[in-house]
Amino acid sequence: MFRLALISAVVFALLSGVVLGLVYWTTAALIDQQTVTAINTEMAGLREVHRRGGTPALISAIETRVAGYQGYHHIYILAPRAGGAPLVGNLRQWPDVPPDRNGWMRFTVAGTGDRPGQLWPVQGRLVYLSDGLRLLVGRDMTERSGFAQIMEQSLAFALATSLVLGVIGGIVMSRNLLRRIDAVNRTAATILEGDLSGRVPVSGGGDEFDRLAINLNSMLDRMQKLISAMREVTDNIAHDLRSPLNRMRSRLEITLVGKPDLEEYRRSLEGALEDTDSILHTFNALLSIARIEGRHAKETFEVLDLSELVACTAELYEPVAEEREQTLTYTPPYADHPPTVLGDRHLLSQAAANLVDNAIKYTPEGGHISVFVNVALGRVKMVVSDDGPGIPEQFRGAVLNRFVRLEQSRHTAGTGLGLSLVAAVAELHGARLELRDNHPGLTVEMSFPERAAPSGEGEARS
Amino acid sequence: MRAMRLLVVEDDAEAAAYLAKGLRESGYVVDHADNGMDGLYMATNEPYDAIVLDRMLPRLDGLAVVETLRKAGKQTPVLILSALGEVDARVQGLRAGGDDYLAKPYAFSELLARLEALLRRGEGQTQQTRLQVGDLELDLLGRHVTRAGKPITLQPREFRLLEYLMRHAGQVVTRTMLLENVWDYHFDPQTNVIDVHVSRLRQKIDKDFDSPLIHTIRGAGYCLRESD
Repeated sequence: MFRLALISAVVFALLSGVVLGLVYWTTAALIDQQTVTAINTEMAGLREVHRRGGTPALISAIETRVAGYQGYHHIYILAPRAGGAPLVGNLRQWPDVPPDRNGWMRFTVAGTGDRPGQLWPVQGRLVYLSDGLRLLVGRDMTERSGFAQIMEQSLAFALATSLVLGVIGGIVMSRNLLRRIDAVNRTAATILEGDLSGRVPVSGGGDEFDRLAINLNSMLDRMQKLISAMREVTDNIAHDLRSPLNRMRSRLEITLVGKPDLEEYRRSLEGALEDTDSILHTFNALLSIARIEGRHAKETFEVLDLSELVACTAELYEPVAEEREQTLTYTPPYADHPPTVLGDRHLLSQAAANLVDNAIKYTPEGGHISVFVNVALGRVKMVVSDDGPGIPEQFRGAVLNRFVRLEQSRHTAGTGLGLSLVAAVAELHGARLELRDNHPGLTVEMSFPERAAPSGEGEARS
Repeated sequence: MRAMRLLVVEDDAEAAAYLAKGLRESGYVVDHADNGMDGLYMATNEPYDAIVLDRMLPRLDGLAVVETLRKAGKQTPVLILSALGEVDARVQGLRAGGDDYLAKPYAFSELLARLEALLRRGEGQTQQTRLQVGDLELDLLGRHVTRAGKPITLQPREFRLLEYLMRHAGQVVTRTMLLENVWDYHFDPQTNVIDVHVSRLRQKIDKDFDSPLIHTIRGAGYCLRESD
């Protein structure tokens, strides 16, 4: 936490340092530029005096100027080029500093008068005149260095302040950050301990952390669902396979214990084979539901005509219904285009077959089963209705779960997995599955989002 | 008639032993390989009539065996056995060059029927326009059926069902084979829908005639043949 705060403080301080430095640099450049201009103007004026009136005029001009100023704000000195005592000016002697290429010099002058002993910074310019003299014009730079001093002080102050503020801000920020990361960590720890219901709290601010939390939570939801589905499968396998396995075991054991003849051996083995088939049937149904539920890849999906598929299923089951003296009617959709959906052909066939199979199985002889597909408002519906006993409203949710068979239908053959497979297929296809009262009987409706066929295919069909 | 020679490539020794025993009792001569490499070697060098190939094998995967065999130009019929029962897995197997695909656990009668179908495949079935079994005739071009000269009206699906049975006349055809080949359904419906369809077909084909052609083979499926 401290490292994060420090980093933010340093970044903060660096930033304010750069800003202040920039202000200092541009202001100082401006002041310097003004001084240079003032000196150059003054120098030009004095040279003009010298050109017109010669040395005496220059001397008198300088004397006038020196007399007009107090202190060293303006510096003048005129001296022979070869050295020696100055002719005129407010410096007692020529400053002992070498000029640069353009004649500029920086030096200090010991003050007299109101500021005795104080050193005055001066910037000046040297010019060699035609009659063996040299002239120096300078300006006091106290203000300039005062400004520099103020800037240095404020820079230091700003740096210190921003460091402190940065550290405080960093601590506050990182504490907030860590608090939220900690929430994620705590959730992870809860889940590691085996409690799968733990979820990351969402602050509701809608920031990145919230999005992370929401994503993590939906990931956890899916995982929990898969895990509980798996647990349910294991429980159900144990529950539903135990009794037929037990039956088979006893059958074989009792045959061995008795003194069977060859015919009895044969009967026992045949029975065991039937038991095995029924166990395998349940086992396969469970596995395929689990596989459908665990699937996410949709690479086997294609755009297909649902009415074609359902018509084929109805045709497959029609003789079965007839044998039970039921009527099975299929009504194709009334639409100008084929009702196409995106899906897996085999899984949808199986779902349709399970629904029709159930309807036939649970409807008494003489009943009527109606199957139709329709398309409206961007949805394609497959509806299977019967006029059998139906399912009481309070049980309609439950029958979608594995192995739930209503007490009244316990005597009917089947694994009790038909509708749960349909539910799994519906979920994989993003379809809504609805069980309704058919007054009397049951209506099951699977409603898919419509998916238009690729244009080429559509034309070929029409 | 010489006995058909089969190669069983299966790494589970016990399963292979049962399979070989069953096949020998059904009149086949059976060789066994317990890994993909040996299987491929034997399949390439011996003239087998058909190969029963497990999909997951040590040393060389079953699909790779079929692919290599097909690339080498060997057209021996291959029946792939697999613990992977999904439709996708089946498509993979057939795409690799397998002729049929059977998911474990399977019924031995199912395997036998499918093997028979593979072995008899290509027996003068090319470009037939007319199928005949006894006095039952099926015209593939005109799409009509007669028995003893009397026309029989069939629904389109019944026609396809009868066509499949007639193409496999004399062989046992299982319910799963009918579901897969006549309806293109690759799952196990809970009700025995096939039995109902066959009995309906039987009504039309056999009811008014003395000798039945469609026979139920207990524990296996159906067989279309002239009565003895």
